[in-house]
Amino acid sequence: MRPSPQSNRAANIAQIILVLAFISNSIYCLQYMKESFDRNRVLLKTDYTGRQLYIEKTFKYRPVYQLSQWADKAIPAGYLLSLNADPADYGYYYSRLKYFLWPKRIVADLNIISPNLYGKEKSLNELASTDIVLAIDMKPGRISRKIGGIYAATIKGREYCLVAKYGKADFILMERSFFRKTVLADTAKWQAVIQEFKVLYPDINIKKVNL
Amino acid sequence: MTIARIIFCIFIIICAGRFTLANRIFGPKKYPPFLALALYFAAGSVTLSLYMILLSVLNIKFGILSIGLPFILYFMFNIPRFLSELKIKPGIPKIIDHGILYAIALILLFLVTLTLAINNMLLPVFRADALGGWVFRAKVFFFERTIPLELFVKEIFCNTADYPVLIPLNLAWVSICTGKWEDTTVRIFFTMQYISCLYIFYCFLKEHIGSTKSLMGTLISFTIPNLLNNIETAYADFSLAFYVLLSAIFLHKWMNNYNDDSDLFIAAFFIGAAALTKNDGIGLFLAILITLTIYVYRNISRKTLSLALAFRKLCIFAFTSAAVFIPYKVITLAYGLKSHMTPGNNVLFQMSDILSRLPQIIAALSYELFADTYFWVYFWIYFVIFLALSRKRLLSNDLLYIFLFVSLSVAMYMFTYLIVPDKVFIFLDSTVNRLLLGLAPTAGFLMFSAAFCKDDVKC
Repeated sequence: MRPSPQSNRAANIAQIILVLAFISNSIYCLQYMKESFDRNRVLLKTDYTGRQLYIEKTFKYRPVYQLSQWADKAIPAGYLLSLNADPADYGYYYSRLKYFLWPKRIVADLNIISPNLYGKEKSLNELASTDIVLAIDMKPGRISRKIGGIYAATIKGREYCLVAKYGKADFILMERSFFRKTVLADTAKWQAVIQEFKVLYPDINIKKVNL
Repeated sequence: MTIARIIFCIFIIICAGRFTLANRIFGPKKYPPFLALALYFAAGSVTLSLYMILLSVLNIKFGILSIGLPFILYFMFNIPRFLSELKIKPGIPKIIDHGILYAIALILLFLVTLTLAINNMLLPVFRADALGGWVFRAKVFFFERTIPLELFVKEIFCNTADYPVLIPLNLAWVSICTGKWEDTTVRIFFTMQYISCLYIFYCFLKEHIGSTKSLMGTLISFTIPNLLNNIETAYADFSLAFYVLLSAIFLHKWMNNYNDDSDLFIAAFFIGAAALTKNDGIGLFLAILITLTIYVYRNISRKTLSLALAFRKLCIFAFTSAAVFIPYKVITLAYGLKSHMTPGNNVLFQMSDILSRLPQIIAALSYELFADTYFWVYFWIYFVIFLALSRKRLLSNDLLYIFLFVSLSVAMYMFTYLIVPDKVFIFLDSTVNRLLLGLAPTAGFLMFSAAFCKDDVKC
């Protein structure tokens, strides 16, 4: 059976579209290879840490890899570490920190400062079983209401390390009065943490906050 | 040394694949050597993960010997068959005989694959879902040497506890072979999947439309930015797409000769693998099962298939698929593992705002399909144009069922968006492009087969 003129025309159009599609994807291929080449030239010159830092910088991620390295060094071994981050930052902080610190440290899921993105709220008892809380990128006001008001009373005597973002500063170490004096009894220890942080991250602007 | 270990790792996966596909149920077939290797790699990754689940249930720790030994023994007993199957004809393929477009497409595909492989070797894992789910699971499996379900219960994977484990287990297997955890090395698995997938796509498409158009189609379908990006970020969506494509191809092959059930078994096996890769795969399994039901129903109406035989074919498909993904599902249910996608008591409440969700879902899908050139170039626009141009051919042959499967899958996704427990815009924003990626290679196979099917070939 001979093909009809309509089907011939359709076949011709299909051929033209195929060539156009081929050209547009070929252009994308060249672009993809060039971008990859430019990036890989930088990545090849560095180690794993350097690559993570490059990615955090390039993709404008919060410096969680740096934070994980710092947490690993600054927090004594054997402590159960939990994390409080804004739900919107779940992907940035919680997943990444947990991944980087496994299996040396277990980071429990304790998103109780603000309602969890997925509607889960953990009990304070769970937090009480945690040695150290890393509170990241929380608004100071929110922390003062929740942590200052509730946690301090509940887990009296526990050691807290708080890192937060505020204004133009990348990180802020909250001073102990923020948590009420009972939480961080050892001022010297707290100052040591700040000093260590300053040595590790000299470029990061650290401020003391008095709320 | 690491390279030798990686070769060993891939070799075991291929042995597991041959063990799967070259048995009587799947009906051993003669494939060209490289195609056989690609298919064995695909099937082997599934069998290996099922075997690792079994080891975990039996409380046997993961190790090179505990995982690799059965397949090494299988290889040793079948060395002559392996060698005869994988005998490669000597000589250099005459690339230029196929024309300049063929040569350009081949060079570009080679360079893109090489770039992707290098990117995978250099880029650490950095995207949230890979760090929080897929690759983190692999890291946990590697260090724990089992699937530590007690840890899952304690919610180290708080929002993804019931996610399937096919990909993490394979990544863990790579790191078990290399002996250390390196998230750059384990991603060789994704590179291998990419190579296997595009080669299988090319070979089966070539049967329908010839070498040059097939290679051009392969380039168009496998250099989609979204697809390359997904592989580099170590997400599981491309792996899902891989198994879905294989299932669709073998189902289509079976439809061309439905007296031979071996292709039906393979199609069922791979859609089961898709459901063991991601939970979305269960929806795709249902979509393909509905497609198959419609196909057998039409054949019963035409009296080309008896009711008893049709029922038997449906049972073969359903039970084979279920055998792949149900065991792990049962385990997760037994442990009470859930994820943020598990519909809760609020489903009925969610149903009440369907009308308000529907426009959002349609708008997001339409944007993704036809306006998001950053992710897709113009892939879905080509899809619509090619299918519109070949509508008569599409309606008159079995490719119609692949089209039906793709359409049902999109409908299934829309339904999922209607019932997700959380705010739908959160999911739409982050998942539409990934869900569509699961169908992209199948859509590519469909559109090129429909548009350029040779007159002397049954498409």
